[in-house]
Amino acid sequence: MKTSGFHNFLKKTGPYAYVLPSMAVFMVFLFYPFFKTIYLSLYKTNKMGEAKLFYGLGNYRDLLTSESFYNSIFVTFVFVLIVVAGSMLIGLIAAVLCNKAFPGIRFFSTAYALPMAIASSSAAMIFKIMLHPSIGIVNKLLGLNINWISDPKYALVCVALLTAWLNSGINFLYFSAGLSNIDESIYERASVDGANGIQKFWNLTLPGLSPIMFYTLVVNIIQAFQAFGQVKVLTQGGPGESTNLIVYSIYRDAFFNYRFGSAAAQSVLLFAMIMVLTLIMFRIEKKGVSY
Amino acid sequence: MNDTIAVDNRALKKSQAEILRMQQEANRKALMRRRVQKGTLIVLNTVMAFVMLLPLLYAVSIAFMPSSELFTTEMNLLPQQPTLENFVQALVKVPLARFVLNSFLVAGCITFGQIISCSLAAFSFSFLDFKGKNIIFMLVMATMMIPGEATIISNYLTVSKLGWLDSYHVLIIPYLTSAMGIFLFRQFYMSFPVSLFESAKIDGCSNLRFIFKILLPLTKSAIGAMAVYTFINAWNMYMWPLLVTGSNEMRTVQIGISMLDSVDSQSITLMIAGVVMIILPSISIFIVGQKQLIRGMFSGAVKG
Amino acid sequence: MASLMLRNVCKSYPNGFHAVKDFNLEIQDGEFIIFVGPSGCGKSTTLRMIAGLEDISSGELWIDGQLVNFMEPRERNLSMVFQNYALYPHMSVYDNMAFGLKVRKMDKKEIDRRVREAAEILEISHLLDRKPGALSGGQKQRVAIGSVIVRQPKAYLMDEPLSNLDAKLRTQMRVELSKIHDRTKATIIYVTHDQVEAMTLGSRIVVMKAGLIQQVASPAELYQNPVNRFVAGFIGSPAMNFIETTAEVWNQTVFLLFGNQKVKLNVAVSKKLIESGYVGKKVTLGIRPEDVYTASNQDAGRNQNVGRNLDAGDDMGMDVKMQVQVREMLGAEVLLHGVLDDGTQLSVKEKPDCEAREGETVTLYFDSSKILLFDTETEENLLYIRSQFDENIRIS
Repeated sequence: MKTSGFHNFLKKTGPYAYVLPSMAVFMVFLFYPFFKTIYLSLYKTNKMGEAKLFYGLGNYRDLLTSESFYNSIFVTFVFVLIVVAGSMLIGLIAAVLCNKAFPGIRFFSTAYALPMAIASSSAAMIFKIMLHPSIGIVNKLLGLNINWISDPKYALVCVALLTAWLNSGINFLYFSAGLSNIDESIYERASVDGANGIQKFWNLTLPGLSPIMFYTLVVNIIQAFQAFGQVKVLTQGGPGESTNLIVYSIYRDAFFNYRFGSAAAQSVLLFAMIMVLTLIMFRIEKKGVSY
Repeated sequence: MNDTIAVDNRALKKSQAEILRMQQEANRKALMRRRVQKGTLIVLNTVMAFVMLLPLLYAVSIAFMPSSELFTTEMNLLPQQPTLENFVQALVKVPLARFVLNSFLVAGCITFGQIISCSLAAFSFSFLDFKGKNIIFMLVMATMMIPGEATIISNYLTVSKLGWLDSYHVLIIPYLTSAMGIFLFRQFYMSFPVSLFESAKIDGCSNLRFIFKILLPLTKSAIGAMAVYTFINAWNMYMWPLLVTGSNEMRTVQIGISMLDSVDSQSITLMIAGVVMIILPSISIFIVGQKQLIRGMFSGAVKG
Repeated sequence: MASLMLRNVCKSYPNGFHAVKDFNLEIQDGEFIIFVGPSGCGKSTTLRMIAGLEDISSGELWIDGQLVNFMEPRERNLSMVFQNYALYPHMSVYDNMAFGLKVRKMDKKEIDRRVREAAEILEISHLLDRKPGALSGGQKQRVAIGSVIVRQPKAYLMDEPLSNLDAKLRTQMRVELSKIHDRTKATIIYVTHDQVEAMTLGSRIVVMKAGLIQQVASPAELYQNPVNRFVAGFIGSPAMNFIETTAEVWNQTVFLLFGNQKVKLNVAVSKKLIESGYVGKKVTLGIRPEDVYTASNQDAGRNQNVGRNLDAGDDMGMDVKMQVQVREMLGAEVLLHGVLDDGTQLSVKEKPDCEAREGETVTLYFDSSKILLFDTETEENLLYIRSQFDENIRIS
């Protein structure tokens, strides 16, 4: 009797035991802090990050009336745009170049995927030297004399291109997988039907990639919003506030200015923005993706 | 109809030599065209790969350059007098070996922990029935929507209150599971017939035994993919270690290396040598595990 | 439409495999040509070489008097139906059919006219807005054929187009393909491994084996006058029976001996065998299941025979005993599968009133005018009649 009761108990709780380790981590480090962040965003905090004074929507009001925050949002959107367009374009070109077998294809495909293995901070350090005004290879190769990182005109583009390079590796893999999923025989039919290479690309390859293209777009946008290491190493948000992406602004507010409440409010707004964007994209996808 | 036959006959009447000549001509042209196509493809790839690899190649080149060589306005793609001095100095100036050890430890634990926790959870989600299974699974999937930035401040406050700052466990524990891993494993498990589990049960196989003796060996490719991906990401982690580590004893490579990033311009070559050293492990793992990664992550995931 | 000519066409791969060896064929304008053979015989490779999807290793391919060996597929103005239909998954049925015209920058109105006309013929007008994913196998098939028709190319190439359909649809589509051919007078080159399709559709059939053409002939010719044992066995269902025998001669008449039994050949055939020196040698006897009769139905067979056979006085040969192992009732006819005393498997097609049951031993009569003889070693048909138009110029 006793053993069967115990057995029953095991049978009932067993399934939960297997998910427990994962769920515990999620609870403590994702769900709890997520709500804690929302809670904090309604308070003024002390230096220890303890909620001290209920401030209501004050943090949000302060943000929405602050020019610096609008600048952050603007900079972030420009950044995301360049990163997503750039990394997807690079990934797509690389995938198309590696679509047909030729000698050395393994080397090239490894080269194109490689950036995904590189840390943003390491990459930023390398770019720092490459973009160095006097000794950097970029100026030397292009015969220019531009102070890429200290010039507000170029700094954001530089950080964005660096990020595009970093993210292009996984895009290459996505697009390669997408290309290999396109039935080879429709290309054969198209060539018998009279289509040339360019027509095949526009009529078959691009539409054939559209499902994976959408997925890649969503992942890329979310990823681009989260860029941090490269900003920290390369520009620290400067010059001026020209590369003060929201994530960096959160970091600065919280850990330099100790304004945890305001930082939390920015986190919540960032989350909301990503959420809304994702939802919009899914809405569009339902209408747009062709099969 | 008569026309075509007439044409045919004319074709037939052409002398053998003429046909041969035509054929050779066409053959040559076609071969030319094919060679040009293939050549163009290789040239384009080479250019593209060069651009893509330029940062890395340049870094390697600088790492071997004496710092005097770097400071010139001349073109200096390759070191004139390659030296290992930068690597030696980088190791001396900061405890790089310790950082590498830390990173290996942290990334290794995270990888191992994720594989275990994710396969346990995925097993439960795909083979067992329990109340609230779907809701819990939805919760897990929902975590993918929460970006790290939305939680990082609170997490920092939590761990600092717990007194965990500057320790190994603060670097490891928050990353011991991943929704993506659970999802990936579950996808794989769902492709197995339920009878696999049922027949194991009938043979008196316990759940844990089933997981470790049957499921894990069967999902080697997913585990391989997951391991490569997780390890690289953990190795490259930046923001969290930046916030929670303070001492040299606990720093990971990505944070440690920025100690070399000083205003002192003489140390640029040093810093790059350090960067090259810490990029090497992640790149090596990527190159070795690339096939696994692609097979495990993209074969199933893309179709859906 | 166009005529095609293949001269000494070969296909070899870098690994040394020869997929097609010395393929010679002239295809007239408006012909429905079938390439048939077991899988791996090189029929699809040949078709793909004609389409330009595979390189021709050596030899010449002429289309309308033009050497096209090295033309790109898109310059050849052919169109092709693929085994898996190869429909463009993201395009509607209309766009799928119009694609080959659009890429040639044809006038929109003309495209529209042709697509709608073809859709009308194929009865898929109501599907024009659908995506291929929402179509059944048979509908996809029609769309694939439709996009071939609208092009009005020099020739239609079809690579096992019916093999993905179920049996009923296949029969239906076979009839439709025939109709389409009658209507469009198109030159069609059609690849199949199914001899029934080959027999019912083709105006001429090319039988291939291991990269070599075995025989090129009309369906009736192939059936009655196969060039060798392979063709004889490949064409016809159920397949022709083969019995390994030894030829012996008595009184100017040749008997074929196998096990404890023998079959007598008629005068003409006997003469031929003696002349070509096969007496005492191994000869393979070939007889189609429908040309074998069981004892009870012998009279019916004999009467039929008398009606047709010039050698009316000749009897049907000696009786052969077979033990019936399986009896298959097919409705209009019954198939008896059995074994002779030397272990040879034999099939007999009989009227459904045939009484023979499993386990019984029946007496069989072979229609001696239908007997074919093959050289056991070379497998060539000893009674093959070379016609004036014989195209089997085999150089090997």
